[in-house]
Amino acid sequence: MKKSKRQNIRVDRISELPDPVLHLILTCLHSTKEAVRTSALSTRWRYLWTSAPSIDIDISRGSKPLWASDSNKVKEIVYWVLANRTQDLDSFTLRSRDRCLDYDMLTIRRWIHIALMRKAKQIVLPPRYLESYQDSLKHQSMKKANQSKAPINDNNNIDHISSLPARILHMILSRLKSTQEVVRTSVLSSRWKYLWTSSPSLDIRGYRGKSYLSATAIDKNKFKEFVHWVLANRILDLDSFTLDCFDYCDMSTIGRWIYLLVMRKIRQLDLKFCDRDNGRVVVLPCCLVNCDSLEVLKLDLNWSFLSLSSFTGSRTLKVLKLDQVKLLDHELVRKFLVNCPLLEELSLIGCYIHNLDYLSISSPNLKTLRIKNMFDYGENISRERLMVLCPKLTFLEIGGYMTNHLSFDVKSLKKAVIKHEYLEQKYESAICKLFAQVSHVEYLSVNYFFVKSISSACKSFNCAEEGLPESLPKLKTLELTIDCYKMEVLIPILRCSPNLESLHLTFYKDITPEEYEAFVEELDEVETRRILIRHLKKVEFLEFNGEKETIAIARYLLEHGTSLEEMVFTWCNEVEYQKKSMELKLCKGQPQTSQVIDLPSCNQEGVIAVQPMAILDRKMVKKRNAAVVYGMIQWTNGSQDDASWENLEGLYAKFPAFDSHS
Amino acid sequence: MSTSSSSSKKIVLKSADNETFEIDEIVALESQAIKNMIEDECADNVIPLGNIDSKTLSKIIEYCKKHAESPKKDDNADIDEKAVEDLKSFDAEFAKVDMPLIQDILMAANFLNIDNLIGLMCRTIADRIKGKTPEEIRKILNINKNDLLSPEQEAKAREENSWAFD
Repeated sequence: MKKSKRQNIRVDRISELPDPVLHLILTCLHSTKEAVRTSALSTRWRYLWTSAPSIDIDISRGSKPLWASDSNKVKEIVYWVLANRTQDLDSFTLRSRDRCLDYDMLTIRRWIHIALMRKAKQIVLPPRYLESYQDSLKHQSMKKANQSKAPINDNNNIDHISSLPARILHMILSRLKSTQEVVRTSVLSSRWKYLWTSSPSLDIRGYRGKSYLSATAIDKNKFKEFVHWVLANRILDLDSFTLDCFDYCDMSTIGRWIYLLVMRKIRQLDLKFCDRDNGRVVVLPCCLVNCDSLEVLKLDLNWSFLSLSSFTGSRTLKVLKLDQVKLLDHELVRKFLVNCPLLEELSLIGCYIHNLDYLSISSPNLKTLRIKNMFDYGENISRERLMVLCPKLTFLEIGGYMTNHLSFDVKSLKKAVIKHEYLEQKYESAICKLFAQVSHVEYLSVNYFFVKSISSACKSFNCAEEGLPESLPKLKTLELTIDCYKMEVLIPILRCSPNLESLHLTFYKDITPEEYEAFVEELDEVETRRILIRHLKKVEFLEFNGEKETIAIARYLLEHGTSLEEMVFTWCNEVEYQKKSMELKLCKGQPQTSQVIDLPSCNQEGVIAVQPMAILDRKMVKKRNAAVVYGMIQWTNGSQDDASWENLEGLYAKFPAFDSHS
Repeated sequence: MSTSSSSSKKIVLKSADNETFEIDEIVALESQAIKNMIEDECADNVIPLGNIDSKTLSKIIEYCKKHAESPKKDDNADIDEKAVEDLKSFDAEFAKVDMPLIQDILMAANFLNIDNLIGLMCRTIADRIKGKTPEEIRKILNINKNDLLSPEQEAKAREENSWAFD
């Protein structure tokens, strides 16, 4: 009885002791396994073991294995213990009662390297490993001796790069993107050997040119070990981490990596993986919630389910991008967004929200919102609703399937991209409403389905202007995809955009001559022409394939658009481009001596076409990763002062006659 | 025991329950903290040790006396095997006390900065929690009940480090 009383009075004085004393106790346990067990004792002890100055692990799989005999698992454990240590290490001890070597020397050498990097004063290995380690050291030093005999530098080149400070070399390494490439620099020279370990960003991809599906279990384990090795090598803080590993690793391994990254104050995290069991739900570790450094999070889960039950928010997150993620509960999503007060950019691409009734996105600082969702069609078909309440939103992109009800009230919006994949007829009025809501933007990009809905709404109201907003007062840039039947929509849109400066057109299907004529007739109208004349500075034809009608429209615009400064033709495919560039090469070979001036020619409709007259100058411009030659073209209807820069290939395609004379 | 040192300087320590202990300076020098005080010449009077009770303090003095008497490794080239053995068995005997006292000694040793004693106490504690489950360790060390992990947190810790709990 007396004893029990004493038990009650006793206070926990051990936990009050400073870390070094407790570390001493952990060291005295002579077993890291036992030390790690103390993580379950209390919050004081939770992470104590990670900073204990000595590591002592039994890797034997003898008759009484300390843990599962799977050597890959043991490997993971050793890496986990080593990677958890970011401070210096006193001693590193490996024990093994086994007679045979279970682990390859490469792994052992890696561990020793990590321990040495943490300034370990003492390393204890099982005798067998020690022997082969010493052998490998001997081998290495012999190799070195042989190397030094060989002539070092026969062309007297001085290695300026290696003498640069590490900060600059890191900048070089960070440009290499893939960590595999970065790690390859370790064999360059002794200066480079360990440089990569302190590089502030890591980018690890599993496939290395091979298909994920052809990866064997050995490949996967190698990959896993590589990630462990890279992470364990990092002592300093990490800026960004990119991982693309398909189904190579299970969630517990990835969770461990995330923990190690959070410990290294990760700022940008980009993860692409999927769980091997497809039905399982991915739960992000809650250490991300308390992570004070995370600003950018990108997740691509290959349509695995993601539960936000433990990752409830972040005080620092600014950018969140979810790709191919199935979200389980919209209520959790909503709460998560509320709990990320600094969020500025949100992308939900190819996301699928289970049992979606409505999705409400309300975030006080959100500036960019991209939603391209596959909504869960089912019983809720008539109820789904998307609500956007973001007072600072400036960029909005909506795609995928249309929601039944889309409500948002954003006055700050400057750019809008509306590209639904498919629109049924019932969404016509919703689309018109949406158009009216974004009518004050400066930049608008819409696709064929949008134009189609607007067009058919116009038709059903029997008046071209009915489905359109009254005016698009601030619109400066307009991107449109139209086909021959929807040309009629373009004119009303142009008419209510008094400040339009830049027009980008993609023709979905070829335009018929009749359509062209009707189009031109409408364009001839005074008011429409005024807009063209006054403001339109740039016209671009995208997906251009040398179609006659497109060229005809271009000609018309060139003729009438007096403020026009730039006209660009962007080819639709590489093949066509190559064909034309061959022609370009051929004509380049001919000397450019004579400048034959043709009489203005008429096209099929009898309209006098403007012809290029002479190339006054040439320049090379990089466009979509290809060099494009532009020429300063003097037109038949203008003087040299009116000359404009044109894509020469497009020009030659348009004016074959000009092509042959140049 | 310390008959030879009647001429040497004495240090007086006062425990939390106002008991005074007069010890030779050489014994007190085992504590790095007291050594610093002596060097700073602020150990002329009684040194009050407000957080160490007399029971603990007497144990600590017992330890320091023994260690101060036994020959140091560095000042005697041929180490007396018997003395080492003797000290070892003394340490082993010394550590045979109950856990609350061990904790008290460790706290005090940490406060007085007596390296050997800290090491001995840590080894002792480690020996007693070796191979035990977290529940048992909690009981042995009397871990603060207010500091326990929530069931979810504990499950997480166990899952994270599952290999240590197999």
